[in-house]
Amino acid sequence: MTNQEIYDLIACFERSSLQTLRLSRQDFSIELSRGGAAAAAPAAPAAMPAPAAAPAPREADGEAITAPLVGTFYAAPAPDQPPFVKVGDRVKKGQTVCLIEAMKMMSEVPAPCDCIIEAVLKDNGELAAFGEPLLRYKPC
Amino acid sequence: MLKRVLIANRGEIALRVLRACRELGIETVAVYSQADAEALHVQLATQSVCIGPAKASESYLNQTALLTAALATGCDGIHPGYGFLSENADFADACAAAGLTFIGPSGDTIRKAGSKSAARDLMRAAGVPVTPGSDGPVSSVEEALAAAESVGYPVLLKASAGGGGRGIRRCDNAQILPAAYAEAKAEAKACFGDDEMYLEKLVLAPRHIEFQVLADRHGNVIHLGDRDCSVQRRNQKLIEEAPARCLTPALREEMGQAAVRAARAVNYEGAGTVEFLLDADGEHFYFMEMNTRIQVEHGVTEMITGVDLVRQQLRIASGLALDVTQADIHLEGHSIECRINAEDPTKNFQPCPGQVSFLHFPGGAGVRVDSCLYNGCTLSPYYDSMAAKLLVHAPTRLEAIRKMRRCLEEFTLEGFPTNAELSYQILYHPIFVRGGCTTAFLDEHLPELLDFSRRVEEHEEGV
Repeated sequence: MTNQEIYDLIACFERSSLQTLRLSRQDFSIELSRGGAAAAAPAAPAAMPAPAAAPAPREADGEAITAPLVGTFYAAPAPDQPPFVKVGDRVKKGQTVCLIEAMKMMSEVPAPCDCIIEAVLKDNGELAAFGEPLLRYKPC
Repeated sequence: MLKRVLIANRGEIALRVLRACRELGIETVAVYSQADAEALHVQLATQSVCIGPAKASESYLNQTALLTAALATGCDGIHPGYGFLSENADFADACAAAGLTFIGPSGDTIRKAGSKSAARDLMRAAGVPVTPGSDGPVSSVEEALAAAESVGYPVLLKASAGGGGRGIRRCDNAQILPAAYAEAKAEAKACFGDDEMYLEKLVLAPRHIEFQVLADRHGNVIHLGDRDCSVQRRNQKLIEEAPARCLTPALREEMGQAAVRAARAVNYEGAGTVEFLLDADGEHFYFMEMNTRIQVEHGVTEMITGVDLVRQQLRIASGLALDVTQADIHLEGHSIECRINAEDPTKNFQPCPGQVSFLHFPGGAGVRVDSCLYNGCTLSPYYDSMAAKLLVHAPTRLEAIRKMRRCLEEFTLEGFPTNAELSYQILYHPIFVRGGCTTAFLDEHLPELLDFSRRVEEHEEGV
């Protein structure tokens, strides 16, 4: 399962009315639950310990805003100005969160929805490949 | 010498360029689309950058993404491979404008060689034979009839602005020409908004003979002999060989010199190919087009000349002079290449990509395999279906044919159908063995070749 598929799964889960979701495949298993209510999950087969190797997603992992094109990542509109967003900021859908420069053209990257910024994953001036996560956010 | 090269391509040619770079001590930056994240060239490059989604127009054809990646990773050169942007004059210009060396000729040269009508005029002026035809456009039925009479039927009426087979009519005699002229003119007007027509002699059952050229910035232009690529289907080459069996030493010499004149006429730089049609008598040759890039089948030339063409491209782009002269070029033995495509000849060559569950390549002396496949990899459905190129080199043509048959017997790919069996049947076909294939061979004999395979299968089932 790719990271993107996990993100998609999380998004679907959040939109649903499910409390918990458990998915097992041959070499992989994932469990999602709402509001720390995992303990309330009904009748989990107690005799089946979770496979130790299963890479459980970190609970804190939100969705990520990814680079829409390959280019240089800039957190601020200009070198002498404050960044567009800081960790913990609440942003509106469509608000610019960073810039990507490709061949002297600046592209503004908008927030996909109303959300809280949880992490900035790139350094200022670093090359971002297409589809690479730039900022982690939590919808609100 | 170039220090770090971005390889703006994928598949086996990306790997081919990467290997040449590594042997010259040049660092490599691979680019890839999201569909190619696990491709071999990505894994073997010094570093790699994802430049876009699977769709080629947004990744491998995305000039901005390629230039951005090249500049951000500190490259000084870009190798375009073949296909994609390799013959895009604007991209060559954009590289130069960004301070990057485009490993190929200048945008200007690509434009001159690429335009069909302009190239025809240039070549005629340089003394390279072109298919006989009208001198420029024909403006009436009477002029067309006169031109056709002078070059001899059959002829092709072509729209000057034409392309993609539109605005073209074949005329076998003077009776049908007036009607065909009117039709083609109307179609050209409708399709291109321009109804200017010209006329060309149609070369029946020609052979496709091409010459490899190398040209540096210091005025040295040499040719590295010929390739016969007549075994093709709808302009898709299947088997290529070098040297062409049908050329006499005198004709080879004459065509080679014409190829060098063609390259000089467009101020060529780098590795290029001049394609000719050779008529059925094997006496007259006509300039068809010039390809301003490395070609898929360059390997057969490397096998018989011992010259590494991609290495030469990198040297030339670095401003170095050719380290071989025309006198150093000797054609040794015979080489054959079979393209292995993920397509099913029994189902009208339908592409059938998939996962490679088991793979074994042939080996041994005089065998070369260029491929991006590995056990467990997936051949993606987004790009062309070529999976591997098998090449052999032997002292004589017959030995090369036998070696290639042996290679195809050894070659094993499980996971999806390929055209390997069809190539195997061609290598046993009497016309191929005698060296008699024209560009019409595959179309004419396809049912018979497929029937061979079917009967072999039935026989095996019976046993």
